[in-house]
Amino acid sequence: MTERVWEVFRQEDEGDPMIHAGNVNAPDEELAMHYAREFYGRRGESHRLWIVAREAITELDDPDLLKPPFDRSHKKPGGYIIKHKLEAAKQRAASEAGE
Amino acid sequence: MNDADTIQPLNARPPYEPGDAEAFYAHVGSGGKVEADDWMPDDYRAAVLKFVEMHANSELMGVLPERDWIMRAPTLRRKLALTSKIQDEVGHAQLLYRVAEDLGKPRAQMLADLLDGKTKFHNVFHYPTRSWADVGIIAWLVDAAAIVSQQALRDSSFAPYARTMKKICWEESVHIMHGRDVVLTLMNGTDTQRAMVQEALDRWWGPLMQMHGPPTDPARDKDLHWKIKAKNNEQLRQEFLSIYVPRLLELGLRIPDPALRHDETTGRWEYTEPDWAELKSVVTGHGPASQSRLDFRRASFAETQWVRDALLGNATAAA
Amino acid sequence: MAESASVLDVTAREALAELLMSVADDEFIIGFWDSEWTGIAPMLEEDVATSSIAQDEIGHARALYELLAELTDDDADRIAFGRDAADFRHAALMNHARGDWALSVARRYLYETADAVRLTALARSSHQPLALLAGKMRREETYHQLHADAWLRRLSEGGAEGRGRLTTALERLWPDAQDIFAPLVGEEALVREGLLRESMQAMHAAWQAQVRPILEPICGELPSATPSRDGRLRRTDDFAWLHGEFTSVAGSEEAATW
Repeated sequence: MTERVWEVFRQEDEGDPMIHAGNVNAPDEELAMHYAREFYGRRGESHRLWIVAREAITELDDPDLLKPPFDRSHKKPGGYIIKHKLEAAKQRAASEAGE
Repeated sequence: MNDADTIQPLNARPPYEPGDAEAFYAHVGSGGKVEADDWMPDDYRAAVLKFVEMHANSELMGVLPERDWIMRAPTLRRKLALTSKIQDEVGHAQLLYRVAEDLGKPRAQMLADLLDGKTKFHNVFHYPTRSWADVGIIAWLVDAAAIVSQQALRDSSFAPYARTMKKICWEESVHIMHGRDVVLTLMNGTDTQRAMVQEALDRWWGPLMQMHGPPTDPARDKDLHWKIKAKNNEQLRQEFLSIYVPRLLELGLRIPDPALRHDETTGRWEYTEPDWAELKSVVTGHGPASQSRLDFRRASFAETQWVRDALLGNATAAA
Repeated sequence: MAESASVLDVTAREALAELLMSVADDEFIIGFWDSEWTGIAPMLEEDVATSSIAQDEIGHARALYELLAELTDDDADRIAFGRDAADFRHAALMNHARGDWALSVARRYLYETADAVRLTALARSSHQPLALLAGKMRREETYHQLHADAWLRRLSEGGAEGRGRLTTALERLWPDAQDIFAPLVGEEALVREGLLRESMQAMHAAWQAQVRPILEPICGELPSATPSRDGRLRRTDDFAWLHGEFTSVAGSEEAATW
């Protein structure tokens, strides 16, 4: 059977990101579109759908690329903990002002 | 100030190397997730496939008890609600067969195995329906018992299954409301309607109590260990009873088990031991409606083979 | 031109009721037959799609029965479930049982195309509630038309068996399909009041002109055919069975709520 798998992405409301919702079997794009509408839109729950043949998707899941071992904390907000430094600076400033 | 304030780098080692079953089981045992194209041991793949396939089969066969009543639904709204519910069940079958198919078994093969009696479907779908009250009882209580299981599956180690369960649970919650509405309307109706509900409950209580299966030995339950499922059979049954027994009693319905009671000290529901022999017999195809339903499915499937062939012809022509 | 039904004379009111009932019954009965595919359609995905379309039809029927109920001081469920088989006013096309997939596809194609012509006319009705409802229905029917087109094409191009079955179905249904445009009792009043902007005869001609070029390449020349006078009055054993089924629970208990 040359049915193909089609991945469906949906947008909940205008402006929202497209989120992967699931997949359907269909022999061609036209029927895939009908079925995507059925499974991910028949209740009026989606603002927009993308229907993509599974073979059109390129997947990357190599942890060496996505989670490499060296420190990358300087690239994220959580990499900058200033609590103690801030405390120390405030205390110094307060005591200087008190002199 | 000091180095303790800097973030320690993540040790980005993959949770398990392909081929390392021990590391894989440690990963899933501690809450780790698996995707369809990840490496997994054959045992795990087989266990998930069996679980999901039976679930898919059940959704597909579950359509049959109710679909007769689409024709007979007594109001416009009930007809819409019932058709919509059954449509959702077919949709669930699709979602689950898709998950199973991505584990490596073609849909056509799964359908063939179901029709040949090689794979199973849940006990409740092997029984006939007799009245409109059955429609309410099934939609309310059978779906409720199913949702108790399904909610526990939303955190399955097999991620595609877990994601599907979240969608299914959301859709099932509407079915339960529809079922309860049907039952309530009947209970608030005539004496005949009330009697119809009681009679339906009398017939469905046994299969409902068997639905979650006999208590299993947790130490030997692979599905639990590998976190394919999160709760054991008895936990699910207790949960079902806790919620639904009070809701049945408050309508003035009588539950046909004189031994059913809640033990305040243990917090446990006591009940007459379900007939596990009946359960086994039923799920192996000896239920009152097992063969007639499989026959019906086989006939429908054969009747529409030409359509699938015509579609295939189209696809190869386009390619 | 009348906007509200209270301004209409008795003849026009009765004619409007007849019109509403005929459209409602068409939607109701085709919705029933197509919902017979639920759970057993050729593919799972298609099962869900067909069920949606059938449900849409029942939803349209419900809205039309409600409109009719307002007009005649009745109740929608009573109209749907309380009539005898002889009091239904659907076109003869709906008398046929569900049949095989080809028959369902053929019937749906014939119905959708005819319904589109009818709804376009009704969307311009002088009766505001009907015009609004017809406009809404037309929007949903876009999807039905797309789906019907897709399947007509697939079966006609999908090999000898598909094409053969489709041809047989189209030839079988063609005569009764004309009766979607069967003359209505009081049609003159409807046209006079602007309730129906086109005569059944005009709509029938427009529909034929549209579908012949699409269907004849598939099934060969279709005979000339006109709607029959009793096109909305003829009943069959298949419909009698259907009627018996759908009234079985509703009629089982006097004055009960379900």
